[in-house]
Formats: sequence, C-alpha cells, structure tokens
Amino acid sequence: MRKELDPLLHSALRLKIVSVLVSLEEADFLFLQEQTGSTSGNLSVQLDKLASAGYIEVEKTFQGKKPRTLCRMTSKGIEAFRQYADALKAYLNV
Amino acid sequence: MEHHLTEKESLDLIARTIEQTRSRVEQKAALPMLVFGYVSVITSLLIWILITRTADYRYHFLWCGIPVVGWALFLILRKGRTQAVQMPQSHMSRLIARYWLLLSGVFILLMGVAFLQKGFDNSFLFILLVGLGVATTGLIVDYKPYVVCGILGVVLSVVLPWLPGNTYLLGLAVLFAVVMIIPGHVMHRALQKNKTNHA
Repeated sequence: MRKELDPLLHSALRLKIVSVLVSLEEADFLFLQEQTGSTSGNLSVQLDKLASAGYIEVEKTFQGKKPRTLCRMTSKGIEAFRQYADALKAYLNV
Repeated sequence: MEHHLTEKESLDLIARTIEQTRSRVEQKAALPMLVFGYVSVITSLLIWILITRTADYRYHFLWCGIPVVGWALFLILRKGRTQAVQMPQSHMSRLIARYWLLLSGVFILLMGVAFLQKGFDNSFLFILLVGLGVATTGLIVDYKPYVVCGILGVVLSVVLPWLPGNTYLLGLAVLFAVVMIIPGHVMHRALQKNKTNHA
C-alpha cells in the first residue's frame, strides 16, 4: 500500500519554503520571499501553518532598528520532508 | 487558493528550489578568494622587490599583513555590495568557514615556528595549506575548478624549496595566482552568467 503524501507539504508554496530552509541553517523573511516569489501576506500565512505543525521555528528579532523574522527547520520538519521525498520517489519509482 | 502539485511537479520543484538556493548562497563565495588571492600575490611581489634591493630579511614580517589587509578589504568590499536581502548561511558554508579557521590556525603556528627556528623555510607550506584548503572546499561543494587548482597548488608547492635565491618569492606569487585568483575568477564568471540567465 502506498504511503499518503503529507498534505501540509503537498502545496507549491509550502514545499518551496521547506525546500529553501532544508539546505540552510536559517533564512530571513525577505530571502524566503525572494526565493519563493510569493507575496508577504501569503508567505506569512504559510509560515504560520508550518510553524503550527512544528515543522519550522520562527524567531522575531531586530537588526539595528529594523524588525527581522528568522525561520529555520525543526528536526520534526526535516523528518517530515525526508518522508515526503521518499514517498514521492516511491510513487514515481525513482 | 492553494496550488496542489502532482508527484512529478513536487519532485521537480524540490530539486529546482534547492539548486536555486545553493546558487544564490554561493554568489558570495568568490569574493574572499579573489581578495586574499590578490593581496597574497601583491605581498609576495613586494617582499621580493624589497629583499632583492635591500637584502633586509626583516621584510618577511610583511606576510603578517595578509590577514590584516585581506580582512579589511574584504569587509569594505562586502559592505559596498550589501543588499536589501541578507544572505543566509548554509550548513556547507559553515563547515567550510570552520575548516578555513583551522587552516589559519596551522598557518599562524607555522609562522611562529619559522620566526623562532631561524632557517626553517616554510614558504612552500603556505601554498600547500592554501592549496589543500581550496581543493577541500571544491570537494565539499563539488566544484571542479577549485579541486583542480587546489591540487595543482599542493603538487607545485614542493618545487619552491628548489628555486634559487629569492626567486621562490616569485614562485609563491605565481602559485597564489594559480590556487586562488584563477578559480576565484572562474567562479565569479560562472555566477555572473548564471545570474544573467535567471534574470
């Protein structure tokens, strides 16, 4: 029986976000926006969903006087991403 | 409205995004190589000119200027390139930075030994260490020009002790160019090309 694909990761923007974060220690909001080509509103909503599921950590800091939002993968998120990629490979027989 | 993907689209998106992120983060990688490469070549030539003209070997102390001038120039140039978007650090770049820190420690240790133990010619070890660092960086990030130039530097470094008189200083300048400047320019050009293609 085939494994179900994680619905939280099986959406274009959330998958892009996680694919960016998985190869970095952390990334700030502007970098994620640039890499995913999303609007700030949509990105915020998707980050909240990923953070609520415990897949990413979001830290709000300041750089000088400017606010900065930092995002990083959690071990739970990394494991979910690994399982998602394995399931995809199994579907496609690669 | 969320855009759901087919399995094939998902896998393609993961591969494409990881590659784009890697390429974006690597854009800063050529700068330190070029800055330290040019500073090392200029320092080698300067010491060769000064020692040939004056025979005063205290000019070897100018080697200590490489990290000072290199870091100062690097920070100035990086500041000039500051973008609105702050570049993140990848796991790989953190590993490479720690490896170079370790090599720098060995470099300083060797300089100390050379000053304490008169007559210990360690010039070839400079290139050996830098070549090793460049080749290892190339192996970690899977970048062939770094691997080739780094290994070339390691192999050619052993020729330096056989060069007559002060010409080993000219040999050092040439090898610094081979190990750092050439691969630095190759990477810079590749990144610029990549940037134009994505624009």
